[in-house]
Amino acid sequence: MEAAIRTPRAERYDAIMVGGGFYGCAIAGYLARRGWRVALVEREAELMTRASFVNQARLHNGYHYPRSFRTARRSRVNLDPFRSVFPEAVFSEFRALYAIARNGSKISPAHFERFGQVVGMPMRPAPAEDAALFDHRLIEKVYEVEEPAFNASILRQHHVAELRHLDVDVLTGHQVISVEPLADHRASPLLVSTDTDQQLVADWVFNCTYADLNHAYGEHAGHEPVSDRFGLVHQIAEVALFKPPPPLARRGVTVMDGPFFSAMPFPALGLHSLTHVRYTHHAKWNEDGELPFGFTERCPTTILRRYLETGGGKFGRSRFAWMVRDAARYMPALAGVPLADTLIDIKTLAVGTQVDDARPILMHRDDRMGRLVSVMGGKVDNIFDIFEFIEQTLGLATPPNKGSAANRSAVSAPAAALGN
Amino acid sequence: MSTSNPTWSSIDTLAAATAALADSPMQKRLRETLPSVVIVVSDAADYILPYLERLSATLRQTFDHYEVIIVDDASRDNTVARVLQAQDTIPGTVLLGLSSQRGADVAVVAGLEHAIGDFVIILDPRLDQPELVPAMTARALGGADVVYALPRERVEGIGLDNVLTNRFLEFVARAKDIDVPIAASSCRLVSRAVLNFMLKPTNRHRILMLSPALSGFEHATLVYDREYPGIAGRARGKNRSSIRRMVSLAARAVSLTLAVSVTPLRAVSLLALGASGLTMLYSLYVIGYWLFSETVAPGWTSLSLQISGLFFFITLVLAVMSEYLLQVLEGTANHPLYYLARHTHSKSLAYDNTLNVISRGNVGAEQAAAPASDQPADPKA
Repeated sequence: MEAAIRTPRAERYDAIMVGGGFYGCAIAGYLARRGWRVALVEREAELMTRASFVNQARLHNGYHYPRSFRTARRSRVNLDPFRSVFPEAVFSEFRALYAIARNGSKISPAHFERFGQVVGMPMRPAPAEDAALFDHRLIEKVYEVEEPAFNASILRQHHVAELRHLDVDVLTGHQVISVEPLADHRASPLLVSTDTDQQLVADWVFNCTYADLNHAYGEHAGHEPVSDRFGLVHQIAEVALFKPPPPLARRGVTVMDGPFFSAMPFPALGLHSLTHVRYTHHAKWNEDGELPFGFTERCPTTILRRYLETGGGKFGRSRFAWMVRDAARYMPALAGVPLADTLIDIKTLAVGTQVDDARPILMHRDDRMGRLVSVMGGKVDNIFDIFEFIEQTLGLATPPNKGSAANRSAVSAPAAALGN
Repeated sequence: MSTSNPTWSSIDTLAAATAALADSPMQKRLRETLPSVVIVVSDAADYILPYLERLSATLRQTFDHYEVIIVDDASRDNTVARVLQAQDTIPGTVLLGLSSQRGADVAVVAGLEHAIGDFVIILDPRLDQPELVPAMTARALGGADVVYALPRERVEGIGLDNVLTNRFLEFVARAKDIDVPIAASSCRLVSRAVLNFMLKPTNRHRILMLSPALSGFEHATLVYDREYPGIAGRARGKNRSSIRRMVSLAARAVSLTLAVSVTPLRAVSLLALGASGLTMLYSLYVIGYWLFSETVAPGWTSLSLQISGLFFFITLVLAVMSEYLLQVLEGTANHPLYYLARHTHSKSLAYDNTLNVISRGNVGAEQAAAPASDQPADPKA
């Protein structure tokens, strides 16, 4: 991509982002806009190619959480800000349909309607032509709702352009291999080294490596994890892509609420994604528990790489054959649709949040290196919560190396309050 | 018996169909096909594990994708525990545990309703060997929507039970004017189109035996020698013609006849109507006798009229009720056929050949053979 791989002009920064996913890019942009000198180090050749790209691309508007009113409300609150900040990335040129399964669903149509009223979500029974796409022996009722998708490619372009505009140094294709304090106290600036022999110094380092949060040094064995360990649960998740047959071309379908499927536009590639609760997750493991497939490497992205290598690549591993056959029982139009492409990557959750779909953002400060902050976002659309956190809790409204001495101490005071 | 059906001479055998699998374009088509194998188990702890292993090995050889649906008809032994144990290592299985015993037909329906495959094959693990699946699927890919596997003992009419079953099917086929091989067993394959037809009626479990034929789709047949994988050698010939088995066969025949045909009900209804006509005639005779005979015992006339009059009304009521019952029967049975107490999946979906190769001579071969996909029963998207 046109991604700005530039030689850093100086090795001293106010902040360094480790990981150029959606959260890393967004935080880099946020700080740079406030006058910080920021560098971003990404392992892949481009920004935002992993979990930020490999997902349903759904901009949640609450419908997905009929069993958690709080999460539903929270999703709705986040949608409008997202729409106003990334208007060009929001794709809503399709009819979003939610279908309630007749058997095996955890909710009934009456429950779903009541839920819609309480949370204040627009929904109405789908027009006959839409309802006719479903097998009514298996689907009880179909609703038309308002829930857009996002275009991950446009989000990426947005960030590339913004980071360039804000003079953020973006280093793609560099793997961070260590983060060390320069002095022996918690507020010490940090030295970041990469596998390409780059050395960068920053007052703050943000670890935004999502699945590899505890393994930000990747496969560089012998290094300790960057931070204290988070309790993380990983899943190898597949988003299968297909060219929608005409009846589905301008529709997105979600069958609720249990072991069902979703077939909706994936705007970044002009295809539809197919995900299925029963088949999308190829493996699931707790980082501190038994590793899958008898592998011994703990780094999640390494496990993924080996999983794909040993199984004939992503197509060899694809579970589309099962997904599409089950989905075609509910929507006959899907019968025989071929797989166009598939995306398989790691999806990571914090221990204890799998149950309620809450997907809160995880924030953590390292015990030894007080200025190493680990951030893990669960969803693209609750990015705004993190800005609030950085501003209020970390007190990072102004750059650490600018302004008066008084200003600088004001910056470190809340940091001290956090346990320096 | 076999000579009475001319089409039997042209029927393929399992051996011939299996030999035809070597054909390479067919192999490729089989690879791309996803079959669902439905097996119903009840108190099967003794044989279920080896059977599932053999089935899984057979499927793996022929298909890239498949699923095995094991429906447990509320076993009282530790069948479920055995299957759950098997799901740790055998890929691609689904266990549906019925909450109460509903009989083999309802259990099969439960399996059919959860099957996702292009073709669904119903096997009885006590009787049918897994090797039937590739052969029957190849048959279906050759252009048949229904494939019946005909046990040789039925084709040749060995034993009273087999003869009676054949005769019954022959009778039903003629009465309903449907095309079904009279040696058809419970082992059959149906395409998704036929499956959709089969699952529509509310009495789908009652007509399971005939519903593929009722669908009217083309069928093919395959003769096989049953291997009885689930029945130990000595028990095979035993009890085949026992009173219990005969009664059970007869009960199934009656249930099937009543389900596919309203003729018996109509016959009873006509009978009741005829009887009410006869009592009417009798009443006329009584009145005539009273008018023209001089030696009528006192009270005979009134008593006779009372009895014949009452029987007239009773039989009339029966006739009318039968007609109503007939209509009611067709519209009822909305209650759930079965309820699932358990719905679990194999830890892995596909068999992982490559991982096995890599771990050969290495540590953890067992672990690698069981790629864990710890799917919660009902996760959320």
